[in-house]
Amino acid sequence: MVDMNKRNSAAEARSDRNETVLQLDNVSKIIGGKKLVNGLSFEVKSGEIVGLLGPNGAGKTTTIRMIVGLIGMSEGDVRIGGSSVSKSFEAAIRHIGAIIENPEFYPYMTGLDNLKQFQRMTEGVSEERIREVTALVGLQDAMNKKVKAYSLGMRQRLGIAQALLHKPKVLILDEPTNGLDPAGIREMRDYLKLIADKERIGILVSSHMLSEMELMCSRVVVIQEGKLIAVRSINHNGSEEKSSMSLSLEVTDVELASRTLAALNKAELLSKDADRGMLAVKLKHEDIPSLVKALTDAGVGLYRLEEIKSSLEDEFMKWTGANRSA
Amino acid sequence: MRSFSRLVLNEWLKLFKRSSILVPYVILAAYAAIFGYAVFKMGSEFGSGAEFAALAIGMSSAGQVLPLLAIITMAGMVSKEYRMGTIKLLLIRAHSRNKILASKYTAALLFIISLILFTAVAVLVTGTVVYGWGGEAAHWNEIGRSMLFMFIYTTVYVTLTFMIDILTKSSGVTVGIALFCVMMGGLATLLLSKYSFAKFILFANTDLSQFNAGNEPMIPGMTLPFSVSVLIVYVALFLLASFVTFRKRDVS
Repeated sequence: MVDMNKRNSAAEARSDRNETVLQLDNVSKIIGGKKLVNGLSFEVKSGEIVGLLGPNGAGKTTTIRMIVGLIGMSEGDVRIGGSSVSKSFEAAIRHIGAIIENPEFYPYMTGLDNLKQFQRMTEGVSEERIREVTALVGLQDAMNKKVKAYSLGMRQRLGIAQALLHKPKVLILDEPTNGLDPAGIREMRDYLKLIADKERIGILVSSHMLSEMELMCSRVVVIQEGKLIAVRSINHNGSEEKSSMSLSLEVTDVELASRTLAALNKAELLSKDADRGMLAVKLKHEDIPSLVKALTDAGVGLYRLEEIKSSLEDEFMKWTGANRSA
Repeated sequence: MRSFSRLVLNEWLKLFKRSSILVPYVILAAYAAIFGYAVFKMGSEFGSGAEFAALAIGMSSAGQVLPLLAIITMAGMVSKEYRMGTIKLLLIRAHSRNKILASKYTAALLFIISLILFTAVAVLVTGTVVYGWGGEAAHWNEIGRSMLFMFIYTTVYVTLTFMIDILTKSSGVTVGIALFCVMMGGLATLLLSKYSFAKFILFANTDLSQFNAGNEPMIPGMTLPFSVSVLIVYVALFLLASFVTFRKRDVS
């Protein structure tokens, strides 16, 4: 453990891209004999945005509240920047900035007064830092307005400002896009990416908005009934599966097309639907032209050729069992 | 220590950044003026402002108003944080829950002191306006003693309020229960005063002015040290219940 700490601080000095800033070890929450969260383990590294996904009631909120110490853990432990939440809470929580559900403030105070409340609760937050974070979230002009006059989007931004004030290593956001309009959601996404990139913060976001998570996160952790069911990296430039891909074809003659495919021996037939004239095939990217040529040569008319993309949503349904959400 | 005083400052600002905080002070100023006017109209003669002030700040005069104002203002100090959701932001900073709650309680005590000092100034000003400045040492002593007893009385009830607020997480319920205790506590004690255990009831001991010369204690055999000890035990129990609950509670 001493070794680990040493390595961590050395990594810090080099601002290593792969420093683990948040680590869950076998965390469980048991209430009345029921395991709301069951032996959950995962980690977040600096500079990455990790999505915590799961259907409603999967234990996302409970997990996040255990990480920040609002709820006690029944088993396991959370380490933040090397400190244990259950054993040395004050040292661990220092590294965390968070918005839990809605960003809530004292409505009768101005934005600045609210931030000053948080400034007084943390050592070493300067006036300069307050100006810096308000500029980052673009609230300079609203700082002297009372928070009750803020729109939800503005409160959300003040929430981020509050969470970043003490330069945390980990930023935790519980359903950050709840109640935001599409423009607000996009704005939020851009902020988070900027923050992760610029300030090298590890970000953990919980949500059930899959498409949103797909755009925002570099990795998702999927939980259901309190258990970890999948961890998946999301590749944003889409180059990962270029070598092998799935295509959907709409043709004049399904039987002839499938025979041609078999003869070509470069593509694997996944499914066919003679009534709709549809075929699904799996093949290498570079083999697509020869597939088209072979079909044309065989006299198969081609109406449409389309890549089948497996979205996060499809995979999510596979993981969590689509029947459950009905 | 510095970090703790900044937490207390935070709590103080949470109280004073709302305009409704002026209400108790306005009521106390009005109380001083009305009391002065009424006493003057009834033709009572006081030799000096201090003599008037000593009466006006007593437990049977200002003591009927000030503690209620303190209770109403302090109820919700903790439960409102839960209701507004700000408790989440308060508890995920590098401070123990004990420290957070202690800073709230400290701010509450400071608020009581501010109310008492304000009232003392208000009745002295009224007394001086009506009867002129001045007073004998006995009057000044009485004023000081009344302020101390007022502080003890109000602190006991505010501590009770603080505990109910934490246990129920509802400021409405808290105000209801706390005011009921203030109003009915004395009556209940009176009804039970024939039993010897009655002197251990909180409400029999809160008003220490019962031991002033010329007054009769509520239950024969009670003494000032006895009542002070009983109060200390009660306040300690209230605080223990408050802190244990606040520390252990999951915020969901």
